Amino acid sequence: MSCKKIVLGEDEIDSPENNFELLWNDLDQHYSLFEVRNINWDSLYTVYKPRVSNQASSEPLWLIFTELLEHLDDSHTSINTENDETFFISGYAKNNQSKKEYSKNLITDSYLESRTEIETEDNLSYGKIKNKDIGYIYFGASDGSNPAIIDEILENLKTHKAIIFDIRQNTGGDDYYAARIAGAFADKEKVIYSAQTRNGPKHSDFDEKTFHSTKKEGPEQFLKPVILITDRRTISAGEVFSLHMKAFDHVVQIGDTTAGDFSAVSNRNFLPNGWSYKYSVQKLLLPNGKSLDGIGHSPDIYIKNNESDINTGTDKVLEKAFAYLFEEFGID
Amino acid sequence: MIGALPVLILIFIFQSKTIFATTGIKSKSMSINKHSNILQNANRKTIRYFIKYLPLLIVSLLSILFYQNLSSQNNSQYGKLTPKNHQLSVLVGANQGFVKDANFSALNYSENGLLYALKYVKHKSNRKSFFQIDIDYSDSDLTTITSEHFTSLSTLANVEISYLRKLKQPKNEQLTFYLGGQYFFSLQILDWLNFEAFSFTAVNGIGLKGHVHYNINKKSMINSSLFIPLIQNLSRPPYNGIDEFILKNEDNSAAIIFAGEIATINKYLGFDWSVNYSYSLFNHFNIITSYTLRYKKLPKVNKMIHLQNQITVGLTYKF
Repeated sequence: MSCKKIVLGEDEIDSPENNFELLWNDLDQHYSLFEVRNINWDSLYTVYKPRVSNQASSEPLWLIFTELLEHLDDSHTSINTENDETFFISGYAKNNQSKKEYSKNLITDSYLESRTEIETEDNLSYGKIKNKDIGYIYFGASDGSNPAIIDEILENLKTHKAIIFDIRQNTGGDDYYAARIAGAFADKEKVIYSAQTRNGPKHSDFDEKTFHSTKKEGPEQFLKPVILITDRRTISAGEVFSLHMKAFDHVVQIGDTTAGDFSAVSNRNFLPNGWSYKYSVQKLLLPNGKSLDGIGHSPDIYIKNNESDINTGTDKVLEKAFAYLFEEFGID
Repeated sequence: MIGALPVLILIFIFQSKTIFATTGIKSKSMSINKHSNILQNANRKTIRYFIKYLPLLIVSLLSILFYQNLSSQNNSQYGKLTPKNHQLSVLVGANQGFVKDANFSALNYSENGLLYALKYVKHKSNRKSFFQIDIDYSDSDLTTITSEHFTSLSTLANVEISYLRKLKQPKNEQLTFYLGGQYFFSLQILDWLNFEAFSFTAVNGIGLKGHVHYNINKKSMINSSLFIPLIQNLSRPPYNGIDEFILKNEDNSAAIIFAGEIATINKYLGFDWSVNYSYSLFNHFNIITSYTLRYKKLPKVNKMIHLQNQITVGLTYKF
């Protein structure tokens, strides 16, 4: 027996059955949204475990795993094959489709006078809408080194009568970063949600609630009309950003319902067959105790592009925002 | 002399902070491996940072010690022999071990990397007690038998400050026993693909240390120490590896590292055993070789076992 075995014990066996057991048990012990998403994880075991055979090649096992995880409908839950050659994200089909229903180039070329990219941040840019007294901000990822840059952006846009804040395809990042950006638009301080992390083997085991509030940030806040544009691929910290923004009286959401995936994500976890996976570890609740996980933010005005709109050079969602600002506030 | 120690601790904490901050533990981004290229850079940066400041630290220590030495000579009668009570050693070597950390992975890992160490010993002139500081740092690769893709990084740092007093002299005058206490700070960070998976163990406490010294002949000696931690502040990731506290303090590694709970042997088991051989080359210099076996075990939630074999060679300056 090797020294390593003596010290650490036997390594995990690489068999389809053991890989299934490790995955199922890990989620059973740590996944946070079984109750919120009304998932009977035990019954899924009885459905999928009998399909696992130790003689099976990797393809059937991949199919079993992806079918099992799809029940969670949670894009924070994903699995990758060895070397990340293939990956599967639970409940991601609609999110993926929305990639074709948005075009950054179309907006730059057809709707903006100019676009300034903020190089220090992951996907943050701003500009002015052509022939209108409306500023435009695109916020595609809640990550970067300096969220306070939003104050400088607003310094450049504050003379406009309104701002369109486009968070379509915002695939998430850092909730605290998102909160700082939103703080530049805050008209009040208000508790908007609580976060709890699963901390025990029972599906109902969670730590104490941490309450999160809106907060005014920066030298001054932009309190003129703001249109928040969302789509199905506005996810995670992008949705937390929406939680902040929707708390403000001068913000209206236009677009598609967001993904409905709010939780923080676990470490990547490893299986003996070289695959890896991760999953949600928190639940976020609104002050009324309800969760938007699996539901998302419903827009005040629902509209979405389809692929042909983009191909013919039209962003219906953006144009709806223009029409709303004109009809409601006379802003043009 | 002790004043130099916080400098190194601060350097390390600052560097740890840089690692956490640049890698983004709390990212909820859907984009997979977005910052994977930073991984190697961050750890190369760690090594470069340490190496960059190591000469500065050594020069500072030597300057302080020379100054102390000159002062003590000036205050003593001219021509009277001053015993060499100070030893400063610089060592480089290999770190090899095994890790299983349930918070990090279900798999077993082997650990291999380089180790850098500094050691300072001050004996009382009557040899009835000594004071010792040990600092070591290593960056190691963690490998599994499963997949090269799972190769991870283990960053380790230890700071130990001990004071030991001589026990009753045995009949064999070449043999001396010491017993005392030790303060220790130990930090291990496990990191895969720029914190796509991570874990850490930060321990900060006191324990019991025994030391035996044997003079083989006029030129060479061997000594051995055994340290057992007794009570410490233990900081580990929470049950699910991450929580609001970690998310909120991503840019403040010290807050994460020094949070935690008091742990005794019911939650933290370990020992460090070392054996050192020293040979006097010149009046002021010894060559030294050292072997250290470190063992840690956290038997509670998210079990962790870590065994390290550390072999180093180095040079000791005596003054």
